[in-house]
Amino acid sequence: MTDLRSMVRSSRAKLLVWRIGCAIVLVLALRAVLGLDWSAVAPSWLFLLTGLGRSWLLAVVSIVAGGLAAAPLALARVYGPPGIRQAATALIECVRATPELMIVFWVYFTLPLVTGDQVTSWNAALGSLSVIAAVYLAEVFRAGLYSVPRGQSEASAATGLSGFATFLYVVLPQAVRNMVPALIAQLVGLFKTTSLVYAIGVMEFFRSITVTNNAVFAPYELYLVLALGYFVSCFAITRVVRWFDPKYQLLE
Amino acid sequence: MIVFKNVHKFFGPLHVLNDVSFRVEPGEVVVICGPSGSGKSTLLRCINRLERIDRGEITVDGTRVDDATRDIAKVRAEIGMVFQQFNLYPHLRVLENLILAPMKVRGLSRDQASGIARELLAKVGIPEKELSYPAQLSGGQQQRVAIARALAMQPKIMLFDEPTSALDPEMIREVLEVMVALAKEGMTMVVVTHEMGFARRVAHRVVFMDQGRIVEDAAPEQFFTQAKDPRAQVFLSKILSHI
Repeated sequence: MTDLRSMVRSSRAKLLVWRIGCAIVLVLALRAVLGLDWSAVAPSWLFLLTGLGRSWLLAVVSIVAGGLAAAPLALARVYGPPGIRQAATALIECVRATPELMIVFWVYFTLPLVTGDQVTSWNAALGSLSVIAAVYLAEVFRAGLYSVPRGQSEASAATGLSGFATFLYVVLPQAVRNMVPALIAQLVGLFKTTSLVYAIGVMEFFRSITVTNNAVFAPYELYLVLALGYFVSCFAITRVVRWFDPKYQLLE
Repeated sequence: MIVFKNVHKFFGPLHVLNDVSFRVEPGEVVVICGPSGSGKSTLLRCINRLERIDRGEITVDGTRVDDATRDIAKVRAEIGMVFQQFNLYPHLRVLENLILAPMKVRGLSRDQASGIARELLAKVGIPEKELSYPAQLSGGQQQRVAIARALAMQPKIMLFDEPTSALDPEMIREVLEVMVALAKEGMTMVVVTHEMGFARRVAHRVVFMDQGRIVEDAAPEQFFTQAKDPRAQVFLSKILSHI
């Protein structure tokens, strides 16, 4: 009994020490932030905000375009006839197995050879990010489809529903629900991937921070803004997807 | 109603159905039993072509179902099936589970389908659960919903694939009672089960399978008291000693 009491007391003591520690760190962090010199950075706020806006535009457009392409890709890989299935698999695996930065360069430098026309870095960025989004989202969709037990489509088929009706009313709703956690992770990843196109000269958030730092040299202030910008954006994406996630607490 | 003629099926090198021939007449209740791996579930799943066969002929209600080109959905609509793991749709409420196929396959209106569904839920003893989700029900309740879902298509034949094997003992009875009532109404039923009490009460015939073959096909009393095949005798001595 005394053992138990002393254990409880010591765990409370640990909690107290932990809390005091956290408070000290917070205060120090706050002092550090307040102590920073923002005078050099402040005039660039519009420039930085524009960069963040461009990052968002890149992310939204590539996720929408990539998502639209990902659905047929995933369907082809799961349900497609031989030939089409292998083609979809090959495309997905090739893009996934190569660095994203390489895809960006590939689109930027080789697309003009195909179209015979100069590709602006903005269009190359949108194109390459859409391709990247398409294959990664296709894999998220595919995992969602596979997560629905076989018994579900068997039960549906046994009642006389066609293959398409089984997919639409039985498999798809469950697949969508199961893919939400992976979807959140993937969308956050894709948002961060937009920073890669700074390599072909697009003035997105990461590059605008770097450029500003080269001009005024305020690394602490600027990289703090960088971290905050990405954190707020990714957190917002998480919240938005959760918002669309049907409430299934009743079910499980 | 159901005719198997010299049916063979292989899973790779495994001969799961070996020259199986048998018939089920309209209104008949046939229980299929046998050791695990004897091919009884496979036989059942061939009736609505959830499994394809490699050789032989299967006819259901005058329609060949082993013919790959035929529109199997029409045949399936007339055959209800109940699974060991229930396989209710977890994202739909109980009533929605029941009305999906009647609306999409039979083309009934939501009101018509709901009317039939409510009658069936009352019949299986859980009229108050129509707005619940499957996960909110006990195993026995889920299986009764699954039976109601199959009946909602007003099928001519009902197939049961070990319907009580995933249930706790106290829930087995409530499911069996629904099945007994169904049998007494004259439904044509093929039931894979080890519930020998059920077989004794309502089955017209008991079919015993071993290693992909039907080795015994007899009336229940005859099967329980004077099984001819030694494998059936061994099986019975193991199962009946528990009752």
